[in-house]
Amino acid sequence: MSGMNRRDFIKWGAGGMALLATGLPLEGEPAPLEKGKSISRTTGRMRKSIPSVCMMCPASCGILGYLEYGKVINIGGNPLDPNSRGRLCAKGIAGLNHLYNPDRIPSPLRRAGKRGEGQWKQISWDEAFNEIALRLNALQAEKQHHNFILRNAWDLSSNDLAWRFASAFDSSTTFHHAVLESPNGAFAIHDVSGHSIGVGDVSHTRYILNFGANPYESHYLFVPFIQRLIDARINLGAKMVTFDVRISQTAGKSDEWFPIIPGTDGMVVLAMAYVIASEGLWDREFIERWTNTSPARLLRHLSAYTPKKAESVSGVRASDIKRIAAEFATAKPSVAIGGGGALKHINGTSNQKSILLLNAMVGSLDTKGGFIFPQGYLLDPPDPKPPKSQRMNPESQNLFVRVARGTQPVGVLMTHMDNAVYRGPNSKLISHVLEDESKIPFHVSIDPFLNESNLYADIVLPEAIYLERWDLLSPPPMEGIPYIALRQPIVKPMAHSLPFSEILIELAHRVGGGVERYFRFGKMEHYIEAMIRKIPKLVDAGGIDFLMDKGIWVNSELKPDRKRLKTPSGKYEFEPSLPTYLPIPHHQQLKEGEFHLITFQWNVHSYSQTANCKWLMEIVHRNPLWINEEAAKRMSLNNGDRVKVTSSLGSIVTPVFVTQGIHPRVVALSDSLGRWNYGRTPQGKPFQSQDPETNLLWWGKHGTGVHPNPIIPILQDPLGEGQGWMDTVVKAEKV
Amino acid sequence: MDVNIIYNIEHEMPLGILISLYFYLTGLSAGSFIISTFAYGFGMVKFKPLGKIGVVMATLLLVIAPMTLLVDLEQPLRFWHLILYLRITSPITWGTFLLTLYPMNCVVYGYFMFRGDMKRTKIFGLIGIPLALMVHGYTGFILALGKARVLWNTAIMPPIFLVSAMVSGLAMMTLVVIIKDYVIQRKKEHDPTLIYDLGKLLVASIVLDLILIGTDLTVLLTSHTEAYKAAVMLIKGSFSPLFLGVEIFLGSIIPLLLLLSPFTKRWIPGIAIASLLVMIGIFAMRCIMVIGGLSIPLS
Amino acid sequence: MKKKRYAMVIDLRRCIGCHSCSVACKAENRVPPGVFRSWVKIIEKGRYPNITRHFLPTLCNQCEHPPCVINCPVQATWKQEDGIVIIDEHRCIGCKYCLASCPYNARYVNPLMPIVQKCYFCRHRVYAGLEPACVEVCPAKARIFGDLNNPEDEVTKLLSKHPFQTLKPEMGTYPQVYYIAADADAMDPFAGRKEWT
Ligand SMILES: Nc1nc2c(c(=O)[nH]1)N[C@H]1C(S)=C(S)[C@@H](COP(=O)(O)OP(=O)(O)OC[C@H]3O[C@@H](n4cnc5c(=O)[nH]c(N)nc54)[C@H](O)[C@@H]3O)O[C@H]1N2
Ligand SMILES: Nc1nc2c(c(=O)[nH]1)N[C@H]1C(S)=C(S)[C@@H](COP(=O)(O)OP(=O)(O)OC[C@H]3O[C@@H](n4cnc5c(=O)[nH]c(N)nc54)[C@H](O)[C@@H]3O)O[C@H]1N2
Ligand code: SF4
Ligand code: SF4
Ligand code: SF4
Ligand code: SF4
Ligand code: SF4
Ligand SMILES: [Mo]
Repeated sequence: MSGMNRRDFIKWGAGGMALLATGLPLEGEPAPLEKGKSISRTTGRMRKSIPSVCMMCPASCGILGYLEYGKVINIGGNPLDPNSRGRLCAKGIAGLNHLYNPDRIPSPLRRAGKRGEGQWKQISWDEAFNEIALRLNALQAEKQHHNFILRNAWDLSSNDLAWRFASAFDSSTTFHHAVLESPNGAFAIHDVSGHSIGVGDVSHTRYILNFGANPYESHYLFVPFIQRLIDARINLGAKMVTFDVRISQTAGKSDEWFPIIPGTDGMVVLAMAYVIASEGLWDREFIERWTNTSPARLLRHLSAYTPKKAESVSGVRASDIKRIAAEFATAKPSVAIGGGGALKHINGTSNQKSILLLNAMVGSLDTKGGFIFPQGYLLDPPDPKPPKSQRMNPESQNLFVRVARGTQPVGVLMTHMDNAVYRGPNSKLISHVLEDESKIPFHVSIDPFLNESNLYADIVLPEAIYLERWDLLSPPPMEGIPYIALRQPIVKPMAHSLPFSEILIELAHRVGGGVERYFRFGKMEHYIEAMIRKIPKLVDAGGIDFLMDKGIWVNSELKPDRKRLKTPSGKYEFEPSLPTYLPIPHHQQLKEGEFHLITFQWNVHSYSQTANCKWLMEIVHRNPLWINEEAAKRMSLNNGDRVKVTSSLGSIVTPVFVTQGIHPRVVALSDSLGRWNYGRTPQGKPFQSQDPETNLLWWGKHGTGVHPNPIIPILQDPLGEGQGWMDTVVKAEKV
Repeated sequence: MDVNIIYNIEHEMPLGILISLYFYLTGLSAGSFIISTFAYGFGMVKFKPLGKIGVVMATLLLVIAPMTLLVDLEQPLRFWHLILYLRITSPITWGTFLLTLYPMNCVVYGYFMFRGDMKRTKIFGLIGIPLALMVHGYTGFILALGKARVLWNTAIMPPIFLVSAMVSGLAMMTLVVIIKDYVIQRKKEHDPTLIYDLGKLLVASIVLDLILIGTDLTVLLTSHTEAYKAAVMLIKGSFSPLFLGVEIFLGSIIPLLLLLSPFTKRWIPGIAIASLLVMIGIFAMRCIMVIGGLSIPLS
Repeated sequence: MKKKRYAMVIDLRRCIGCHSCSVACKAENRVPPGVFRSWVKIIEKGRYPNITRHFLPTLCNQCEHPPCVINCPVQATWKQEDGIVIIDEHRCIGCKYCLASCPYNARYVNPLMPIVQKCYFCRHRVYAGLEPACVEVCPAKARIFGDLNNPEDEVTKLLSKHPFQTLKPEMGTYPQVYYIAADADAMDPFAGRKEWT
């Protein structure tokens, strides 16, 4: 441009000087602020960015990895992502701490001492592959395919490959946990709607009735969900009412909070449904048109759930139940959501069904501002596909129970991104089983880090973390318009690690015996390209090149399509067994000094994954037992005093956090702290590494907290098979 | 209202014992200089023996004091920025000049004193007095202008620092004289009146110091919440052992008793103990001001 | 064109207390463990069962009358015309007087290299036309950054529509970080500190 005037010139000159002087640009006249870019502070140049997808929790937000001199310098949000819209949570940013973690496994490891001793010998990939192939071949030779067990994480895209490998091997068992809160939720949603996933359409709602969800801190669609919920609350003035046993961040910011006795949400939900029915506040038309039950049958069924009875069960006042039910029914649109607090119980499946029913009562199923079932693309992996094995168990706790009892033989156990000892209930049982070579003769673990479980493995394979690998995803679209997201390597895998996919492909070829037939697609990129080819509109847009450039592809021609139910009747199926409230038997008579122990998630932690992220551990590293002030006074406990918490499985000792914000009969612990084997960062003591900041870790002086899972017994919901995480009864004593 | 903090961060204390020590040493220096001028500046003949000791102490202490400052700097090699880029609104800048001029004046003043040139000694002694006052007054300003800290941010802080400088300076001089007379030159006969006179001056300045501290506390106690809490911190909070126990009781009350009681006021060891306690008390005061002031939470 | 006057609005009706801003700031500005340019104070208040939670994200207020600047002896820190208070890391001698002078604990000594640092509204990003790191990530859109001299800017609009608070107005610092719906107890450094009540 020749029109540069003197002032501009001076500005430029001055700017240049300033850059020389301080390395920073001088005050200028910036353009309107943009998103999705990053500038280097040292060179003043825009950084190169590569789009990908976060995997620090199941929400799968679009990210941009910013590079400088071949290193990932920062992680930002991808503004093109229609779900997260370029926003990120703390964990998403701290993914960087995983990538450059000083405790990543340097190479394949073979156990050198006894199981669990933590003695390792570094071996080559070739050696490792051969040994695993040998073990698998032995199973093939003895026709014991079924004794190969593959346990995988919640990571959706690798589930498909894991399934492919297990099926090709003719194993009958792969295990993975259900993403949606707990398998209970998914089971109920599937039962009623035929869909696999459901979520509140909180962007358009005017009333949110929340049973045990904590979306301000944890949600399986955290960043996408919370921003819409906040928009509705501020822009539409949506009211939020939360039932939780403690003052979570969500409860503490709700318009109303009702502390409730654990496990009794279903009762309150049904009592509200009863109020809505008996006062004629329901959407009769919707019930008649869209459910397979009838108003008359409903009223009859619900009449057992009077607010008065609900009060005696749950501790929530009948008058409040009536008032909230009426508000919920008259504010349109309104939505009832359920979270871990309602679902992670052994009556969780029926609780979720009741919540769906409550939505149906006011016509809020699959409607704007109601409870929706966002479907992503069904990605179709390349052919040939192996025949489906008979048993694909979605939950995994009782695998170890069965192995312990000797009813489940195991030949080779392969675990990927799985930390059963830490994250499972009855951790001790699980570690005993894993320790026992007669029960589990061979255990391979695939993980970027050594954790409490792969400590017992015979071979550990270092996995590339999510910033170093390929995956194709279609997350549940909050706006109802499905989209495709590409996870691609932002950098090459560090050290000698390999992606899970590459490990399986290589193994398939080494194992042979027909397994390799299903892995002829070559590399993971090709597998992904094959899936892309089946979406013509995406191919038109540029296919994988488009995705590699933008990270996200949205089919803008599609409109959200609602009301296409996948159930046999084409309606929401609440019949033949209308939802009921099932009391939890062992909760019924709590003795003096006994409490319900529930667990919860911190906003900066993700279960067993994040304790080695320095930026997150620095924020939350303690795990005191939350206890109500009144109960504490009775036990003459002050803040910081130590208590012994004892369940049927044993006890743990931890300081207390005395608060007004918890039900007097409940004590609570978070589930992501108290690590005993996850590298050095969680311990918070300074150490030397390539990262000079590890010399500055400081939280070790506070201790590293306890973990509740060793004292949480295995308890399963007979319907959805989900674990009763919040069902433990404990005694607490001052020590 | 019941409030529970779920999350907050802890902040490191930016200044600590080194700065307290610096304030203490400049105070001692200023105090001893002023005492030295009693004889040479104001012609109070009975204090003549203190003139030389005073100026030597004043100069020595002022050489050591800035060292503590320098060590406390995160970038000690950049100390010259203080002269090159000075910002006049900052009391540290005032200090830069004072810490340059005052020792120079001390040296000149001392030079003439040792040469026996009384006229010039007097001139430089008189020039030195405002300098000495400012040298210590400015440290009071450093705190007073730290408006973030309620314990510091008071107009009475510079006078408090001046008076406490006098207190500690007098105590030190007394101690020095006692040591010189009764330890080093043990064999010779000495006239104790100088020590008694110093004791009287010490009493007067301790009383003045107590009045100022009392004034400060009274205002803190009746001012806004934060000020009130700061006062409570001194009276019955975490700093009360140091404040009531060391600064007030050991550092003021006991010395006053020793110096005023008819049984001990002429008793040299008693005066020595009193002086020592006073010096300890004033050091405690510097620590309370700096560290106590910074330990009041801001966020 | 009129001069910019940068300001941040933190809308606490929206804030979810997620610490995303703090961590984004750590990543963007390489803030080492133990020190923070931005952090989120979280309190709970009330008596069972009437309890609420409140959040207070904090950062340098870019004070209109910054005591840190007035007290810096070497002009190593100053307020720019656009309102951002910056530090020249090459000139700073590390006397820490500004740390002691700041009423908001906004400054720290970097434990890896002995210099004083604080939030500077991510000026390296702002001058390149980008939002500050903490603003861009905020999942709840609770942090809004802009130019108070522009009547069309979101910050200007928000502040003209809603009552707002600043931290410690009694200090006369005139903060340029504005809070909407801040809780007095969250803003009170003493509330909830048992040893101080
Ligand atoms: N920050 C973070 N976010 C996450 C995850 C994470 O680990 N960390 N994990 C992701 C995954 S896999 C999942 S499954 C989701 C889970 O997310 P959520 O559905 O929110 O589940 P939880 O956090 O387990 O529990 C939610 C709340 O239930 C309360 N509660 C406990 N018992 C009861 C009860 O009986 N009744 C009621 N009403 N409330 C009760 C607890 O106090 C807690 O506040 O989060 C996802 N997002
Ligand atoms: N007490 C209690 N326990 C619970 C729950 C509860 O509410 N209360 N909730 C349960 C629920 S809902 C869930 S979903 C589970 C989740 O529990 P987990 O599945 O154990 O937790 P994750 O955070 O998914 O981390 C699994 C492992 O993945 C590894 N990892 C991290 N990044 C990568 C990567 O990029 N690649 C690979 N291969 N591995 C990686 C880490 O080593 C980590 O140990 O916890 C359950 N446990
Ligand atoms: S919610 Fe946070 S951790 Fe989960 S995918 Fe999104 S950015 Fe990552
Ligand atoms: S990122 Fe936003 S919502 Fe989260 S704590 Fe910071 S200001 Fe609040
Ligand atoms: S907040 Fe503190 S550091 Fe920031 S400008 Fe104000 S006084 Fe200075
Ligand atoms: S530490 Fe640096 S910026 Fe702060 S007052 Fe001293 S010289 Fe100025
Ligand atoms: S504006 Fe930049 S430097 Fe300031 S708190 Fe936000 S991210 Fe940190
Ligand atoms: Mo989960």
